[in-house]
Amino acid sequence: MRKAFVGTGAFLSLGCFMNIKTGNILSLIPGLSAGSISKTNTMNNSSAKEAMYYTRLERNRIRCDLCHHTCFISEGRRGFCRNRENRRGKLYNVVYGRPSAVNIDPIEKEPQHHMLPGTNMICIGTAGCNFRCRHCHNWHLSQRSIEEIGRYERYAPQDIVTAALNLDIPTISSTYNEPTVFYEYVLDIAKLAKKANLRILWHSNGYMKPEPLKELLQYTDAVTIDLKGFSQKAYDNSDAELQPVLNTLKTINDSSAWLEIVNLVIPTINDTAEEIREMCVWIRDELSGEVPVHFSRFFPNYKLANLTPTPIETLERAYDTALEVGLHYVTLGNVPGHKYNSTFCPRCNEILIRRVHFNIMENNIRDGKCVSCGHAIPGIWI
Amino acid sequence: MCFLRTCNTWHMDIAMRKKIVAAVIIMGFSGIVAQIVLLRELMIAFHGNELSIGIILANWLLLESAGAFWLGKNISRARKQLNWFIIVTILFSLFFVAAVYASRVFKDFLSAAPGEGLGIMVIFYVSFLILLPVSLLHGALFTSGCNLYDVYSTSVGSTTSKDRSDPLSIAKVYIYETLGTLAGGVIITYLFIPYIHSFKIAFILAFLNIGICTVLMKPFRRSGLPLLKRATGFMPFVLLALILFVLISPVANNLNLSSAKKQWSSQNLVHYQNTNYGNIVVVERAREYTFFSDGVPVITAPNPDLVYVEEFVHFAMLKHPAPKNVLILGGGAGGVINEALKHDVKRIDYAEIDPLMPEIIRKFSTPLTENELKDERVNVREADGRFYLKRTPGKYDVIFSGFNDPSTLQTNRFFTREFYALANKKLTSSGILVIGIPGSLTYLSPELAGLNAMVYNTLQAVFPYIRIIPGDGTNFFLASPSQEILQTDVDQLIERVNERSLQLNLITPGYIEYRLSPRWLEWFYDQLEGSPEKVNTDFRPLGVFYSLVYWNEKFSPAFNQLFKRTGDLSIYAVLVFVLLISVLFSIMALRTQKPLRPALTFCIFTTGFAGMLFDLMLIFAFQVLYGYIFYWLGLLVTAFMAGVMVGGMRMTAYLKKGNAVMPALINIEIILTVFALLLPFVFINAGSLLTHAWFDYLLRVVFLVLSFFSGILVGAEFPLANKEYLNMKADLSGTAGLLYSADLMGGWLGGIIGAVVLLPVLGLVQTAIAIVFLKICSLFLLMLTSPRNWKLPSRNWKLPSRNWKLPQGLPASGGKGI
Repeated sequence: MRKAFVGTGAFLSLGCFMNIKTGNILSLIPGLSAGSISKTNTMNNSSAKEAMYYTRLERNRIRCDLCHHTCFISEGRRGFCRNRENRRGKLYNVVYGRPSAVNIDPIEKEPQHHMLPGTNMICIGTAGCNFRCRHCHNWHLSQRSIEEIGRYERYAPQDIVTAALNLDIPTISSTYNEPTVFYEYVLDIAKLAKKANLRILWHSNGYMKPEPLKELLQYTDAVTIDLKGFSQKAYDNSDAELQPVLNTLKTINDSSAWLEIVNLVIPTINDTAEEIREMCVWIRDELSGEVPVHFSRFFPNYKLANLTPTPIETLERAYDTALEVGLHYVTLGNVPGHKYNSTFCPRCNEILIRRVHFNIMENNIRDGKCVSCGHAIPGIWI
Repeated sequence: MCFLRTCNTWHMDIAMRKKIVAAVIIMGFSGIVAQIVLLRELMIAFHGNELSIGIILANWLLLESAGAFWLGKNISRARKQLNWFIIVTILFSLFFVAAVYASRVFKDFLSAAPGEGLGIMVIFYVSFLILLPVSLLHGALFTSGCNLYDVYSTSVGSTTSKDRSDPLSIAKVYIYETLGTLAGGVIITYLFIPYIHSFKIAFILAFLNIGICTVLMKPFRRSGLPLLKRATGFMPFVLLALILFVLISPVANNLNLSSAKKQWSSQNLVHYQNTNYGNIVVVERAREYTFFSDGVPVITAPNPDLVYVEEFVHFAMLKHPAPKNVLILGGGAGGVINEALKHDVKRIDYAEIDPLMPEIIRKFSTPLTENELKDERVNVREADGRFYLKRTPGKYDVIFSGFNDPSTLQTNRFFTREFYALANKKLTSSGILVIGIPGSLTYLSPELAGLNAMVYNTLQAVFPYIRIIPGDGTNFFLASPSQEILQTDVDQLIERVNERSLQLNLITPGYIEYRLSPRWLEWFYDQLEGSPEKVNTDFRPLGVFYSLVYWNEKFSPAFNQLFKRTGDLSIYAVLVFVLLISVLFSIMALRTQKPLRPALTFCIFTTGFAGMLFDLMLIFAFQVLYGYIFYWLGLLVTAFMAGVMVGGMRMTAYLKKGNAVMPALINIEIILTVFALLLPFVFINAGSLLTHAWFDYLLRVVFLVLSFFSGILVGAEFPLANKEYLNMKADLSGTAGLLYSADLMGGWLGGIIGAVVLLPVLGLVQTAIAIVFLKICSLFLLMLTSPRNWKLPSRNWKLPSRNWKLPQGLPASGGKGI
């Protein structure tokens, strides 16, 4: 009988939150000491980090100046990214030091092809994002708040850096969701990592405002920018605008950090020949033909679950267009085994790095030069 | 009465009654046809799963019951009710055509991207709006039809306008409508869907409906009416001619094609076909064909998702020392067979449930698929994979289950303990069963972890050895009776790649090392920590539930909290809830002046609920045991409907003799309860016996008999309740509307709760127990509220004339409106 009443209670209290047990998500990284792991998922608000780049307005309202959404946040509310919270007129980042995913992956997976090929990186990601891409690959993380996810660990920036050092992994990458939305965490890790001679990489949608961007770039070795297309239509699919991303690309290109661009070609959304040509011309003219560009094959995902995958022919056409326009380093992704997984020397057309998916089969770059013709290949090779 | 104006002589009433009977049969016919066509159309538009079916059906029943109760009653009270009936019939059939069109093009009005899936709320309101005019008007037709039938049957012989309502009118209309439904169910399954497209079906329906209207409205053509009226009288004829033209001209075909192209906006549609298994669409883009099944992409040729097909096939094939005999259950063509053929196999059996799929794949041939289907080692079996597996005498080295998601009852059958046990029996001693399920190497949400944990737990209940290979997109579960799958290490796999000189695109030594690294497995187990330890079984298909929770997580994460909570639902909670509702309802009923009335409504409501669940349970059990359901769905529903009709007719005849109502009603309630109690036990052990042919045939007959019998019980109750209700209240259309909508609402609740929560979460047996409990409650309420003397039928019920005396001051509805 008692069980029955308990059951009724459960039935009547539909809607209350499930108590999710937190697993040790960092078991992938043996270098991290267990001592730094806190096995609780209750938010301790007082420990959230105060955010950077915001303006206090009247009546405790806040304008966030971190990304181009420029959210106006009233007291007790959060920005569009679900991470930046106004507490009594002060802005806090609630995911600081609370990554929900920490893994070790090959750097080719980023993709980042001109930086330390064949090495691994420590990848970190948190909850939240400032885009709403219908096809997001990591929607479990990016399209949720940290409370909705429930699973995260507590790692101070130093913990991540120490883990990289212990495991002898040369690079730390902020990826999976948008690094902008855990900016303060990325920045603190980057500052420490630089001191320890580690490489800093991040994969972003390029929606950060110039000022925070420039600050972070001082501590950054390389950036992969996801250019979602070259039309507003493509950006509508992410609830964002194209122009700010283009400005970001220029800023990064002008900085000391190494830039690579990835473009996911999605049928009907950004796959016309004209759009791809315009994009390549813009990259050549406004950035440089030396910027590596990766065209990636789309597969149905998240809400965009009922669209055809990108035809190989479309990708090959994009590849040809890019070379024709004058881009030197173009590859195709998500098409394992395709010959254009590899990077070719723009001068002698020999294979510089032979890749199968994200495995390195052959590396013909010595001292930053093509082995067969001696052409200098830009990038970070040591 | 107004019909006096429209009818010249009394004998015309009999002719008129026949016409109304015909109209009612067509109404029933149209109802089921419209329902099935729109269900299928919306399913494709929503890229549907079990949940969307539940929502669409629920909306239909809800709207239909609102139409019967509210709109129908108002129409019946209006003057010139026959005119209204005609207008509503015409509107219904025209709106049906419009609804088919709307379900193809509505996405233009949403800001959805092409190929974007839709969430629960959108599915709810879009289907509600599209079904609104169709179901509402169809519901109104029932009530209105009852009243018309009553008017034309009771006035025969009466010389004054003072009339008597015949309570059996409702029952008779119910029976005729059921007859129409029965015919509709058979015709749409066997004649319409395989051969003609939705628009043709809709126009044929419009032709029938408007045709019967022209017959009904003959009297209008009398001379002497004003010109305008005569002109409106000709309208249906004009419409009829127009529809005939549309049907024989290419207009209907063009409409079908243009709307289908709109639906697949900006994608190049090259093929569109309905089969009894679903809808197949082929889209071409840059010489690649993508095949969609019910709006969901299933195959892309000649360039499949290589990461998926290579991982799916080769990890298992490489772990087997010498895979010779391979079985692929679904999803074989378009990459999987091609990869498997790279190994030195002797034979690949490929079971595909929809015979049209391979045919259409052949039609849009690519080098990849041609190579797969033409290879001599490949045998395409047009059969449900599971049924095939049960019957095949052979044993296999590797069995691939090509279903990646247990989101429907159909696919869940490949994720249950019973299926795994069957596969285990059909594996050679070192054989491997391969399952794919959604996964991620970044982060597993609790929903995704729950789904994966369920598959793991279920496999563990059968197989001694399981090797999981977590993946980015799909996690692969390899299960085997042999320990070998755990032992084979990276080096050995690399060696086998070389030994078998495999030409692979993705799988390189480095990749094998990366993917099989033990750290993924440790991480994966950690992510599963804290997930429920539940096992998925045939008759308790939890997989459907977990899969729907995961699906819904994409669209309405907030709503999901509630959804997930229902996963913890226990039978005790349901029973207490039923009891609570019944007690509350009883208290409310007993406080009214005539408590029997709400009791009867409750009784019909719960029977509607139970009837729908009987139907669902039978269909569900059939599907579990046989896999294919589509041809038999028609037969099972037909048997049920035939039962409803026979039950209704028998009971009407019984009542005509002046027999007592209440004892019969209470008897039926008792039989219903016992039936619900016994039903699940028929199937529990049937699966293991199915290998015998004689049992197979016997079981099919048993299924039909049970469907028929449950129909009888549901059908018999309706006339009884109607009569008893009318004894107390003479408002015929009000009663018809109320009880009909109670029946539908019960069905609605049964459909949505049954398909989404009760059957998946509680399973067959506990669902049956819930029904038993509910019926006991309604039985108690009935006994509590019925007059004490119901045991003495002779006293009250032998004098029908007395019972039909109208309450003072209340005119009969028949006289009021007509």
